[in-house]
Amino acid sequence: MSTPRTPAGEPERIHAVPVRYPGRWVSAAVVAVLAAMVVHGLVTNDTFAWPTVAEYLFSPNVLRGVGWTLGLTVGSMVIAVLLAVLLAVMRRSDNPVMRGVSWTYIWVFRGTPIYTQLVFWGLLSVLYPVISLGVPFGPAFAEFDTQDLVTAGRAALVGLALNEAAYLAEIVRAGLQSVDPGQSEAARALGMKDPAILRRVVLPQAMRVIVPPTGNETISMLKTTSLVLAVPFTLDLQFATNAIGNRTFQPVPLLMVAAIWYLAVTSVLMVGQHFLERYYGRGFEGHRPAGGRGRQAAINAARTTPEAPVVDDMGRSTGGPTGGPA
Amino acid sequence: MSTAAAAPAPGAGPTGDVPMVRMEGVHKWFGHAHVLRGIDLAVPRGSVSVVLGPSGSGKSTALRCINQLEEIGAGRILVDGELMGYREGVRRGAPALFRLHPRQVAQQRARIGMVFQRFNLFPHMTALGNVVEAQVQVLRRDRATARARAHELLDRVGLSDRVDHYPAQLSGGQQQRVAIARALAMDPELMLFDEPTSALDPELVGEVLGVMRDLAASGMTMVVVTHEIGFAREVADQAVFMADGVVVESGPPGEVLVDPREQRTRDFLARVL
Repeated sequence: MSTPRTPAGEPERIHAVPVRYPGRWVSAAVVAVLAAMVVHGLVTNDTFAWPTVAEYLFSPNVLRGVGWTLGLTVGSMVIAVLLAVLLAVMRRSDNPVMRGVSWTYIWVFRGTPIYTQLVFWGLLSVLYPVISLGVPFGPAFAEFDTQDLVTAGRAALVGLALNEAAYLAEIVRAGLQSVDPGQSEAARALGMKDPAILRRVVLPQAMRVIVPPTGNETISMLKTTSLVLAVPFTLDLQFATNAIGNRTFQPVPLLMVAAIWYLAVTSVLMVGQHFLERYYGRGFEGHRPAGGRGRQAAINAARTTPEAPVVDDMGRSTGGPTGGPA
Repeated sequence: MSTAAAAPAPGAGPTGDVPMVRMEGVHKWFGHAHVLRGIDLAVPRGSVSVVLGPSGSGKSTALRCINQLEEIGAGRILVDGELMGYREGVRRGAPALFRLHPRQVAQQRARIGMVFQRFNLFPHMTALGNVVEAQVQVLRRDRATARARAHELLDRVGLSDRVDHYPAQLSGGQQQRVAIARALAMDPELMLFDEPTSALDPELVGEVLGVMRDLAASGMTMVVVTHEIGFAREVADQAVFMADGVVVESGPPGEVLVDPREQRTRDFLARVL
């Protein structure tokens, strides 16, 4: 069987009639009607009081709440990431004491509710009115009044961070385990020492695995900050909007205000996550500055093969360049 | 390290020169598996030794023991007259071996270059970054010096136009040549090659062997575990045939590979040639 040819002598390309999918049109229409019903319900129900939403969306108390929520989220995540790397490294340590401490930490902080932990940190000053640094059972070098040291804001920040660190530690551990053992072996063969191998070789590669779930955790943390009233800390977005809603007897529109802000911040965080993933994905499949089909393109460009093993998209053998390093 | 050559070490060869590598009665166990059963081997300075043998014969393990990626169970390994991994001393009036601190082990390894079957390049660094990294971290060279050296070495392996490529953008042969440059950047006195061409497509083997041939011609001491009999014939000063965790026979490739004394060597060569 010979392929039909165009007058120019090239094989005639296939121009086939596409398959029809009526089901796709039907399902799209059903979903569109449902969406229209939801929008209708949102717009026409006066209880949502959209003018009130607009009135309070940028009110000073709400904006301050957004600031605190964002600050608590970012601050607690930064502390949590640093602590999580430490916990994950301790978990892999040769020292059984380190392994045990890390395991116990994760067990306690993952095994109790965040709400309970926040209440506990809020009550710390009742438990220990004075915190002193010194030798256990010996002299103290410095003493602090717990009320002054652990303010509601700090208790909220640290409480969220300590809880989150336990979850992130497991994510970091999974990331470290995902790196090919040949990597640290190659680094060791070069005479690199363990801390440098972790910092320069293993951790940067583990980040590729660590960043996506950590982004997820950050978005989750944004909303967990609404629990800080357990401390009690009362300046975050959820508490601020709730307070206004209770005062003005309009809880629903203020709930909408909170929801809009949480959505907006989440969207910004998602953009940040995208760029972080791209940074740590450098050098891996799917991220090439230049075009071409990766490895095959590299082999061809290397000009070390006597003949290009692929044919070009016109169907002819490219009869690649010859020579190159022997 | 070179100062040790002045002292007559126990591993001194027939000419009185200290061999670059000396393995004496080296045993290795993986759990209950006895994979090295008393390896004795001397690699003279500036020579190329090619280690051949069926898979599972322990040749890769023996190579990895030299730079302490594997810990030996018995025997001793000296590199340029220096005992690897231990310090000889006296404890409670009796001679004893003291394990070296990981820091000292790292120093010993830094003088031995190693090339792996699967390249093991750092995928998040460019070719240049791969060659620069250990120079900065281990040799404490400043970045400019390290980069200049890296450019020089990548040029030597024929990759001066690939310095800014990531490993994923390079062919296997190019990756392995970067790996060789990375090892050479540490100015090693000894280079170990663990089946450097076994993971390559057949048409890419030649470029890597070419770089290794040049390296041998420059006087580098090399120990090469490989299945490339042709390379062994052409480049090796010593061919070592291993099977079942022992050195079956060793000698000039003209003898071992052409007219072996041992039946096991003959069987192996008949299978691979």
